[in-house]
Amino acid sequence: MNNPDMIFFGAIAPYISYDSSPSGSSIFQHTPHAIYVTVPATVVFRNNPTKDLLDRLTELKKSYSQPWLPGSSVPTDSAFQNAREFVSTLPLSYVPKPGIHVASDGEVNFHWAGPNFKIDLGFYGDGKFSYYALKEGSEPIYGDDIPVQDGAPQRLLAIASTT
Amino acid sequence: MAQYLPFAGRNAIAEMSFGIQLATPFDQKVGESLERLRRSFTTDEFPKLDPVQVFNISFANIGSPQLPVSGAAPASAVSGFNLTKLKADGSISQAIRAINNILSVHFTEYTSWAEIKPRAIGYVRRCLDTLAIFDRNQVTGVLLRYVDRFTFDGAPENASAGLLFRPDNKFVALRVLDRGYQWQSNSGWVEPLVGPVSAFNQLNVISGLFEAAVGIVVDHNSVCNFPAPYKSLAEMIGGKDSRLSLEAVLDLQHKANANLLRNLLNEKMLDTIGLKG
Repeated sequence: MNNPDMIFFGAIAPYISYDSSPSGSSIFQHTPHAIYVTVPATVVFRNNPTKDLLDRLTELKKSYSQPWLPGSSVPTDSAFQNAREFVSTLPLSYVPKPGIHVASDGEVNFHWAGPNFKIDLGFYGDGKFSYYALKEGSEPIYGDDIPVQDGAPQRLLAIASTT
Repeated sequence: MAQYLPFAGRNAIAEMSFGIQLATPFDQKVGESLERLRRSFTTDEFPKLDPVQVFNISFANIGSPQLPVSGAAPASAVSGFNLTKLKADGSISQAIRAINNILSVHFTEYTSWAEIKPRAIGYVRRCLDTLAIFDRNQVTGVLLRYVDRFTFDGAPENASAGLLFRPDNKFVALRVLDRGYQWQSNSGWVEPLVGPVSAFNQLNVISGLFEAAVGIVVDHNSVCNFPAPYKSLAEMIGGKDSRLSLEAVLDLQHKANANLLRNLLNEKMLDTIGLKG
């Protein structure tokens, strides 16, 4: 047991024998109980962006099931459904979560904002969405009647990911 | 109906890591070259560099001679590093680690293989070149690791692996498919990659509560030890004779991961993450 490696190559047979490395230690090591790779993962399971957004939509749907202002409209079920489908198109590993609200005209609204930009994107339940984005030093960009399954255009995601 | 979804919109990949294995551990010359290494990356790529000291702890019977670990740096020397770029929430966006005999690149903001692969190879190439690693070492293997994560949009008691995995998949035991959300499945196997080159695959699939949400993590490692080491950067990047280039080996490992997921996940999920067909 002089060499540290001997801890792993002791009297108990490892589950697998794999010694193709001509010199030095192998990229993975043997233990009596398991085989493990020696490169650690860096990811931390700190958040659940998909679920957070879907939970927010569920909460809004529950809270705004009745008109809350005189003359206001309640978002339709299909507006919420379109918003849920849209969440599944967002690359949330590098685009931050949007704020989600409902507007008095029945729109389900997604909103991103940073020091030099803001994005508004909305659903009325017709299977489509519209957006408007303003970034300092650039012309505003906007789009109407975009099918939900197409997701947000790349130039919009590029702005949203600059936070 | 409640269902499993990629943890981040259309992104299921929580982390992709790519590592190369050297014949012997990094030595103290790495520590002497860290300033040069820092300058070879922009602050947008890796704003932070931390030197790493590696300590070897040996256990021995009283009176037995202590055997040195071949090629290792003295315990007090800097013989590794961490290059990191953080996200706004303080977690790692991308990192390069050199510890013992492994140089690895980690991405937690995965976009696509076409975009990430050249970036990963470029980072490793820059490290090996700047640190002149091939003057005194060789590359003996390569590792590609994907950590995919899926969250359950529903009450924990309704979660079931059968809602995410194909019933006829060959990677996860059938008995976990209807056993709620608390289980794990671990396996390892060697599979031919190309010609005489094989890869050791390790698959750890875990289901449980992750920050109050039920989720499943699919952690797949593919480790390929070369029949003969690469002795120069040119050999590794371009291949030599019948030997594949690093990029070609990575492409095969990436394809193996995609095939694994195609066998494991149901059609609906494959469609969502763009792996269908």
